[in-house]
Amino acid sequence: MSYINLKNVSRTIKHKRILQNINLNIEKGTITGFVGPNGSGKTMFFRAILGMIKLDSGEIEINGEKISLGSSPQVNIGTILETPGFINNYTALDNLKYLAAIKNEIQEKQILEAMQLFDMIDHKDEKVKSFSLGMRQKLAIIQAIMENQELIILDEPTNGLDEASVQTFEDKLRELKNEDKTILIASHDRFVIQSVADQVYQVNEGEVSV
Amino acid sequence: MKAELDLLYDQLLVRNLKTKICLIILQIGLLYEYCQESSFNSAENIFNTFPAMTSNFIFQNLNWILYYLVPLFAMIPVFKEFLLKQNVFVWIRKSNSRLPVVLVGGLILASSILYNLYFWVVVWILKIKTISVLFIFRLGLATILSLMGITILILVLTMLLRGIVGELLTVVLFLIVLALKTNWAILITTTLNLKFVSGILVIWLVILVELLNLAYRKTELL
Repeated sequence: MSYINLKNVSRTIKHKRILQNINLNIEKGTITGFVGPNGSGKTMFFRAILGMIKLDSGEIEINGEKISLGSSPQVNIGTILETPGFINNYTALDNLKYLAAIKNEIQEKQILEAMQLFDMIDHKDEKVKSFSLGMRQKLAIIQAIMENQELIILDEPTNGLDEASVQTFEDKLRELKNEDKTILIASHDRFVIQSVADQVYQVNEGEVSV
Repeated sequence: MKAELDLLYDQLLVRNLKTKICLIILQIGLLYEYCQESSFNSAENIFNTFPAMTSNFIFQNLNWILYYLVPLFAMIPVFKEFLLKQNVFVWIRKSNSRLPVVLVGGLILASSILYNLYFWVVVWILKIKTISVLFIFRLGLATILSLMGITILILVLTMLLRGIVGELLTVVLFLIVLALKTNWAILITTTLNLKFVSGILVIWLVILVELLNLAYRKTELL
C-alpha cells in the first residue's frame, strides 16, 4: 500500500483548473520530485496534500488517513511553502524554539544540531530581520527537518542557497531517505530535483505527468 | 461583475484613508448636531432608533448607522487578513488549534473597547452638563458587545462567502433590524432594558465565536 495516495484530484479556481485529475501513488522512504515552471500548480498541489484547500473532486490519503480541508494529517510533517514565515524580531534560535515548543517533542540540543548542519550556529543569536534570503531559506529547511519529521514537503527549498549549501541540503535529503523518511520536493530547477529524486514528475497547468 | 464590485468596494471604501476620515468627520458633525437638539438618556438616544414608519428612516438613523459603519470599515479588512494569513510553519504543527480565533477575538474586544471609548468621550464632551455617566457606562457595555458581535458576524460571512457578498448581506441585515426595530439580531435598536439587551448579546457572542472557529476551519489557506 502506498504511503501517499491521490485519486482523481481536481480543483478549479476562478475558471482556471489549478489541479487536473491527478492520480499518484508515493511510496514510503522515497524522494519524489516535482518540476514545473512558476504558476504551474506545484504549490497548490502541496497545499492540497497538506489539507489547506478544498478539492472539487478526488481523494487524498496519507498513511491511510483521508485528508480534508482544515484537518492536516496526523503524521509528523515538515514543510516549506513559498516565503518562510518567521518572526523578524526574534533571533534564529528563538524562532526555532518557538516552533519546537508547539509540539514540545525536541530539546534545544537537537535544534542546535540541525543548525550546525547548515552552518547556522554562528548566527543563532542574530535577529531574522537581518538575514539574507539564503539564510532564511536555511532556517526554513532546519525547521522542516529538526523534529525528525516523517513526511517532508519542500516547495522551492533551494531558493537563494549557495552551491555549498545546496550540496549539504542534497546530502541531508539522501540521509533522511535512508532513515525511511518520505520527501516531496518541488522546484523549477530540474538539476536539483534530478540529483536527489527517485522519481521525477512534471507539473504543467495543474497536470502531473511522468 | 462581482470581481469589479469587489475591487471598487476595496479601493473606494476599505483601503481609502480619505473615505475613513470623511466618515469620522461626518460622524462627529452629526453627533454634535444630535446633541444640540436632543437629549441623551435611556428613553432618547441614537440607539433608540426611529421606527421604519417613513421613507427617510435611514437618514433619521444616520448616527446609529455611522456608529457601526465607521469601525467596521477600519476593522474587518485587518482581522480578515490576520485570519487568512496563516503561518504555515505553525499551522502544520497545530492545525486544530483555536489560537488564531482566540487572538482575533481578543483583538476585536480591544478594538471595540477603544472605539467605544472614543465614541462615548465625544458624546460626553458634547453633553457634559446633562448626561448620566452611569447611563453611558451601561449603554457603552452593551454597545461594546454589539460591535463585537456584528464584527464577528461580518467576518464569518466574508470568510465563507468571499468578496462583497458578505458585506451586502450585512447591509440587508442592518435594514431589516432597523425596519423591525428589534434587539434580537445583534444590533441595538432600543435601550429601555439594557440588562436584557446585554444578555441577548452575550448569547449571540458565544454562538458567533463558535461560528468564527467553524468558518476559519472551512476557509482555504490560499
